[in-house]
Amino acid sequence: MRENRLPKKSLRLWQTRCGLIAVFPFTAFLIGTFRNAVCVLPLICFIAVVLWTAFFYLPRYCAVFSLEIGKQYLLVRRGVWFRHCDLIPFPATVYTAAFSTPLARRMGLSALSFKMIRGWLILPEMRRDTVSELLAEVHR
Amino acid sequence: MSRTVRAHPIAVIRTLEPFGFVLLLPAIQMLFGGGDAAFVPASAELPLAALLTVWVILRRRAFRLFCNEREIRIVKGVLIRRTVRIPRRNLSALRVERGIADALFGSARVIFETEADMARQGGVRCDLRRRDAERLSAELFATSGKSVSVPLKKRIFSALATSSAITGLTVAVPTVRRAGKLFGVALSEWLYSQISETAARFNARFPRVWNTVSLILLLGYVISFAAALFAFARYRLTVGRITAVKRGFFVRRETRFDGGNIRAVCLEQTPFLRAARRCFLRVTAGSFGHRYDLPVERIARQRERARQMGFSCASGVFIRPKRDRVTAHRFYRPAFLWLIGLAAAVFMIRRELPFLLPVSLFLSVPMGAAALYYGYIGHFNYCRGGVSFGKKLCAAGTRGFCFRALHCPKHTVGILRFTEKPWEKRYGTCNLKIGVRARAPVYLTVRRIDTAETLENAVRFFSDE
Repeated sequence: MRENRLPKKSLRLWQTRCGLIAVFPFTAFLIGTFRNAVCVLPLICFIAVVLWTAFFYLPRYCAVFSLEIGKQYLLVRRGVWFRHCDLIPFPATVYTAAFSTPLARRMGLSALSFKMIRGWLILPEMRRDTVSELLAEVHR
Repeated sequence: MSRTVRAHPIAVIRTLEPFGFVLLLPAIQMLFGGGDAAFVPASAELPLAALLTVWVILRRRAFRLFCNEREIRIVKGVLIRRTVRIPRRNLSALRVERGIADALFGSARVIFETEADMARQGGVRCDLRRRDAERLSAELFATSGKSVSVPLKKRIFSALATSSAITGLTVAVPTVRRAGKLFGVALSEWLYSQISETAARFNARFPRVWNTVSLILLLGYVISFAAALFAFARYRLTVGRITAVKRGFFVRRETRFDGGNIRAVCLEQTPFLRAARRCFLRVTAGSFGHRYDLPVERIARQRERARQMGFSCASGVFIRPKRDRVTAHRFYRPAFLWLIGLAAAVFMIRRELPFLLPVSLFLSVPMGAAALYYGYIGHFNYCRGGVSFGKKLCAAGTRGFCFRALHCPKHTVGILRFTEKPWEKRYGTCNLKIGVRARAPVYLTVRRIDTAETLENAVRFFSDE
């Protein structure tokens, strides 16, 4: 039974994504602030939310996330406040899909989705060799 | 079944049906309507309609079905000949449907259900002669037990157990709207005005709209009850290694499946059935998990039925919520808080908004009843809820307002989800949601069981060969 955690690169990737997503709303709020002082408070709240997400929530999520690959099952632990533990027997998997964005590809990471009958699970970006190993176990 | 079976001529009409209004009717009108400018565009449709009809007839003549001990072979197509071969071991179930047209022309629609079916579409289908369909059915899934119908008392029970005002309104409202559009009248508005006038005749302290709403809900319930009663009117069940379920009034549907294909068995009780000490038997069978609901019976009788199908509901040692006062309080607390909140709300309304008191009392009765029932659900989950990882996975819990007992072998478990809420972390307990691998999946939640113990047992259950 092997246990895998999310690599540090995965956290950097998600923090980068958080920053990129925040650029446009931040710019909009900033422009709004120059025009009207009412937008100052929403801007501060928005910055606080982004910083909290990038430096508190994401690191905690990555620390809690773990993947256990058993002989015939996969055990995924995730969640910061509401902790979920999903036990998926391999025979229950209908198909899997590995996918990655350009940024993730540059960092050598790949996400994985499991499709079961009437259910699905997406695993966040992990190293490509881990993903290949996992796929080999599932489809053995 | 050594001979080859041909398609029934009704297959021609069924194939042409979707093209009826677009292609055939204008062409027929043009033929018999005489020269008219309005039918000029239809002149192009006549050769098309003729070609389509010839093609469909050739298609019907080209159809062949052959069945032996190993496989079912279906040959079809005119220009592109296709041979479908379904190994008999891959056949989940066989469904035979006979509507009014089939009864008149002596035909039947046969559907071979397999794991490759798309949702709601069923599998490979063909229209055969009734005799051929019956012979095929007997050859593929020969039943040995006696066919029984559902007595009126049990039908009434089943109908009472499954009826609800919301279900009735979900069926009735679109039907009334469609009927209104078809006849070009404002049927739904007229009905609503009739109901309002009837409701106004009742002298009550509540506003008139409440009487109207109550009457609409009552009508919804009556419709749902009538539909449920009707659904079991010509129900016939043969239980055995091969089970046959025959139902439907105008369109008769018979489904046969092998007990060896059962994925999961679920004993389900609605609040009414719980009081009556009876339950439904929900059988998920076939490679892709079609669900069959067997009529209401006592729990022991349902277990016996499952055993006759070749599926034993034996359970192992249950992992249950801890037997202590703190855990018990956690199960009863939500309902208790709900009742206190309700009483506080009524008290505040009485003080601050006395004109709303009748309405709040009217609403607080069903809400109070729901809170008490929620408390009972908590009591059930505390006393009877649990999961066992023996030869099969067995679990008892609730889903919404219904009580469920689920039995499924290891290979049919879809997913086990353990959810630990923030306020439960200090107790080390979680809610376990179990999903079965099936197209119409059965879910069940077992509440507040020990996380570490359950997870360890679950891992061992799947690790053992």
